[in-house]
Amino acid sequence: VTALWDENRGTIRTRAGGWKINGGVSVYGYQLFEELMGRRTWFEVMMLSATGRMPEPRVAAFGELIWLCLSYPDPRIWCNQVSALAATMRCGPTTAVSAASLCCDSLRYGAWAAQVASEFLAGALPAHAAGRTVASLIEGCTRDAAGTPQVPGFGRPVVRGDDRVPVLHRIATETGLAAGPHLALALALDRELRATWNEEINAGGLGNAVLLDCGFSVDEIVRLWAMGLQAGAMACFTDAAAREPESFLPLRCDDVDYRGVASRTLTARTRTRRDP
Amino acid sequence: MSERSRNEVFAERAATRITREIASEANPYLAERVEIHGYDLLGLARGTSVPEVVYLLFRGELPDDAAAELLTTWWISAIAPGPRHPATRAAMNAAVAKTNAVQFVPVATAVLGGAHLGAEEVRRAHRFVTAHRTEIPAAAAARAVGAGGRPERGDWHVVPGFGTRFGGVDPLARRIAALLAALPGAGAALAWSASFAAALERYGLGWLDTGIAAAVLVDLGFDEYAAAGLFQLVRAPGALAHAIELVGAPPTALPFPDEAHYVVEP
Repeated sequence: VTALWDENRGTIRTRAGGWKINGGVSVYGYQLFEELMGRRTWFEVMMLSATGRMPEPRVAAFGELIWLCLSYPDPRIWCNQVSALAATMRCGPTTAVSAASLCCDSLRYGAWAAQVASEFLAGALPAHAAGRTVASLIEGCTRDAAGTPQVPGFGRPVVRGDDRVPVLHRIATETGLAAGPHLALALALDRELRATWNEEINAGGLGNAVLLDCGFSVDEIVRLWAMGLQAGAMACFTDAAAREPESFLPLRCDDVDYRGVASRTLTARTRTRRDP
Repeated sequence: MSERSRNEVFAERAATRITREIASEANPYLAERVEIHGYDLLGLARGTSVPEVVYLLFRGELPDDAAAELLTTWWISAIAPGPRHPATRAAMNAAVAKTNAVQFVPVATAVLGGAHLGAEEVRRAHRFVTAHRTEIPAAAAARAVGAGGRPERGDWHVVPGFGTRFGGVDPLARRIAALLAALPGAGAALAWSASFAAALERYGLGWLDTGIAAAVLVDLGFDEYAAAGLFQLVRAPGALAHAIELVGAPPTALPFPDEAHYVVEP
């Protein structure tokens, strides 16, 4: 019954590589000091670490471009605001950016959104190849309260449209990464959504399509997204940390609407009892 | 290669004085029974409160009634940082942005860890109270204020755990401290800190909730590191409740400053 745990008790097994004292460091078969340092970029090694495969330089550059396009130094954005709130309470940069990264485990942006969007596109491609129309794929999505289809990788909070998309698309095209079927389907969905619902593909939707076409699995794409919003979060930390403590967006008591029950006393409280 | 092993001897097994897990006869990876400092876990579950077992975990013995009352009273007084507290707002932000709900507590406790009204300040205040509680409080207050350091703008924490909040003396902190100091379990640290805070009021300074936490936890015998971590844990439920209240709410449920209220400075 316990053979699995007995085999691993007291022993670490890994395919990633590691450190041999006086024997260097290997990362999925590459020697860190001889083959990676000074020869490969940090993002190439991050992609290697997330997938076990060394990416082509142009693929790593595109992955880094996705991270770059997430680097909004705007603390109104939810994860960035967490970083600024941490800074205003004098947390350190590790805490602030880590907390912001945790927030990016989100369905609206970040790694969880990338997972849902990649799964949708990866599932839609064979369905489309089997004859399902683009309109039907959109019809199959859940809808928001206004009835608009919620197509993962399309639409954004706050605004319609995404200025990052043409830049990502242009660079993907220039580097020969824009010819795959996932991106073609994503762009077809984009045309249909623009025509019917006034919604558009977002940067994540386009980026994930290219990454799928580059051969990354959904799980690998999630890993690539996991820490992608750090630069924006760090910028918001840096600014808020340089200002007075607790001065970031302070709220007065009357800045919050209380909509709960009226004041009551403990002696008058009632307890909800469960039936036995 | 020039790396050389230091040939240090590492422990073969981890060791603890806190928790004993008695293995099941059928499967040595499963515990049949658990004891905390010698007490059977299920016995504790039936006969004690959460604050009492927290005390047991850190102190090794169950608290007497006075200590349990002090810990419980402080715990409840600190449990709800409120929707304006940055830690709560961080968790609320996560909620409206559809962040996975399992992240709400770590996000909130991370923000509760800071050196301004957070766990790091509790740790420093614990150290301050421990080091200074034999001094005459008024003299210590005068010396602290005399050392200067009041910033031109913003709050001044003259020493960790004591100072201003939003430019004034925090009236709720003052009331909580008075409640706690009057309890039978209040000890020398709370008494000294109350006198110190009273002496600070003539300078427009007073209790902060981090100072209260430190004084209570000094009196209860928790060390500075436990005090810091407990402060985060104790305040987390209030932050979590506000985040859970917003699960399913759209981003528009919270303010999003418009362009006129977003100033990019040169």
